[in-house]
Amino acid sequence: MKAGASHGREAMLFLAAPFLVAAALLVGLPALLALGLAFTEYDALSAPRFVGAAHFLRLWDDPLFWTALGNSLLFAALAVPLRLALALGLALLLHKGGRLARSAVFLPTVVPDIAYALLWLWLLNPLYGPLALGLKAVGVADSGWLLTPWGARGALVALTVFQLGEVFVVLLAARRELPEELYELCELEGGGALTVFRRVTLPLMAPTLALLAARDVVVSLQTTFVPALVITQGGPRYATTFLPLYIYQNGFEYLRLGYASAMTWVMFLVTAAMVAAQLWVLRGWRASREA
Amino acid sequence: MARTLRWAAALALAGAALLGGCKREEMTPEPARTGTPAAPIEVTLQLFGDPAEVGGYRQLIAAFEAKNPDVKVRLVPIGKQKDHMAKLTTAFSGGTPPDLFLLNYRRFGQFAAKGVLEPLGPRLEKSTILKERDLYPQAVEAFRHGGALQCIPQNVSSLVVYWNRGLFQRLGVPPPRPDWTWDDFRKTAQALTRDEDGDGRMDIHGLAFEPTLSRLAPFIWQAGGEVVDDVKDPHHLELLNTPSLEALRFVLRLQRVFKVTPTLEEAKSENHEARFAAGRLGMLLNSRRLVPTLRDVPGLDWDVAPLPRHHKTATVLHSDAYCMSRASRAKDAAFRFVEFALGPVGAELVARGGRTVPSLRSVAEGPAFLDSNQRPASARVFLDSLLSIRRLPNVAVWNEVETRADVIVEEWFYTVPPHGTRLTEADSTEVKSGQEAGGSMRRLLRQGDEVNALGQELTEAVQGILDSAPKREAP
Repeated sequence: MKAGASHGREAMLFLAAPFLVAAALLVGLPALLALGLAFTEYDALSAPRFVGAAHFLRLWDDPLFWTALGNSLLFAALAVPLRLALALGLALLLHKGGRLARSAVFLPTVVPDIAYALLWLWLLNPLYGPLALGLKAVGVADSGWLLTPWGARGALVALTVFQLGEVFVVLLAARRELPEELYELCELEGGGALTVFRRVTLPLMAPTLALLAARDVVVSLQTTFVPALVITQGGPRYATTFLPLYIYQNGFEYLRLGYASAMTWVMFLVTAAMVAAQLWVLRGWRASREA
Repeated sequence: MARTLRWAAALALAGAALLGGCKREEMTPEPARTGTPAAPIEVTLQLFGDPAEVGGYRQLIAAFEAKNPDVKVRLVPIGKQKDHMAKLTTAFSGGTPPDLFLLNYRRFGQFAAKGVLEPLGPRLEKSTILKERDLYPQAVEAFRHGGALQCIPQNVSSLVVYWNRGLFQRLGVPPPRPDWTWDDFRKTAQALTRDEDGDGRMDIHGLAFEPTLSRLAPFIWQAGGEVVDDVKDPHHLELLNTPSLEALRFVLRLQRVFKVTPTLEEAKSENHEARFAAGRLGMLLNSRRLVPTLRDVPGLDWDVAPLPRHHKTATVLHSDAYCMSRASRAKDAAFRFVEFALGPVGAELVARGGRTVPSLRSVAEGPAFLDSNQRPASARVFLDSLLSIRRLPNVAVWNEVETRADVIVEEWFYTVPPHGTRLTEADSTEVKSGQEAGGSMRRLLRQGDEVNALGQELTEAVQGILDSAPKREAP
């Protein structure tokens, strides 16, 4: 038995090895290099110069950094619950059938990011876009709200909400794995749809939802880059300047790669803290249920 | 154990392949074997432009290669200037910069200050094809750093007024005069602005321009103001003095009072070039780079006119130059291309394409540029503008200053205060500077006036960047 377990671990290690090596080379190593650069003044054109913690201190006084961080957190706070709720609703609705509808839900996810952003750029055109024309047709002539800070933020949230194919597929699979006997039992006991959802579906799918929420927070903090760069260019007035865009601008437009590296590490730590907080809440919730 | 070894070998191979894939491209051509013709030396050239502009450079390269079969120029065209800059940065960072690239003088400082450019002045001195005295000094001066000429300018463009002759004629508006004033300019724009279907939205706009610091600069100079305290070593912006405020007030009134320019909604829905090409815009402020695109628009009858004058005449320099990477391993071949591109043959070829106002005087003042059979008919406007041309700073931080500033300028230009504008048709020249307002600059800043708000916000936003500029080297 022991030999079998050891053999299984060895096989798993071998299977995971390519990914571990790739992660170490493509993620771990660059992350460590970025950490090193964060303590230097580096412009990609001349050798890095050690400046200690100056960049981290400068971040404290950089109002645009705080704006970008705030925008990123706000985006995650709006987009993650919306995406999860919508994906869950669709998974529950479509788990028994509707192949065409399932394909339609998944389709926006396979569109390349740049093409998807350009498509939305056209959809959101304030005068000639379908959305503006549709609103005009129903009597809302003023589509200037799209150019307001909240309009632009809302548009970017809406854009990412439609790209929920991966979350949807995982939730669909999770729902189909739930034992039907439980639902039949609930039905026999006269439980309504809401009761069934609250007492059966949600508790059983909670681990999957928690995992997806953690993953979606990570993704949401990063996926804003392309739409913010292509559609809003960070505007109006920095309302859609998210951390990835601000990092890019500092690194590749202003040649402040050391400063950009410091911001990247702050973003990494914020992401880790948010995921840790979610897992902590989930653990507490599970402990309370088990008690 | 044997299986472990097999896995280890496979991983080692994968790692080797991965690292091999990251190896730098060898830039030096392989030496030719005896008895075989030498492989051409490859020179990479990176630039940005729309398809019409890039097409002109492809013709230039073809002509060069026909005369220089031992050199192969590989063009790396980029669509937008921002992406061009980002790619240049990453290429330098990765140790594989292009041999040659075009840079605007407002963005070249960050490269020059780091010493990654091969100074082309000494090569120009030795050249038998091209001489510095043959080039317009206004453009040459913009590419000096620490007193040394770093890059060689290919063009000496300026901001001018593109006007739709067909639209002017249809609406019975007199064409721009060479010595027109701000008032003439504003009245012309008003006469062109029309709501033809009466739906409350203008169908034709008299004027459009990108609300950026570089577009505001000539108006500030025309009013007798300054953008910065010292163009060679800027320490602060000068947008809160009386002449600058007069210019800003004039520009803002065009948008808020006379409503001759597209609104934010309209500007974001359709870019100004497309609006002009579609015949729904009377006048557009732009540099020479718009010419190839407009020539391709069938049926569009257009010309150019100088910017209007106020207390002074002034326009802003737009100039790009060929820069060479210090790390290039094909410097001689690359410089041969520069000599060809900027010399009589190359400059004439590019001039005929319409993209540039050649930096080479003989071509700029010759038939290739002033060809009366080609639009714009008044091409000489670009040359006449040289008399009053001024430039913006070329220091290392200026690119960042403009990038930060332009967001604020756009917001200022399009956003009417919540209580509505206090500007009126009557107050064309009334300006309250800090002194005239009877108080300190701090008091002026507290007033929150919609005109001086720009100067306040820009100063707040970019002063730190200007302060962080490296000390300028003595020439």
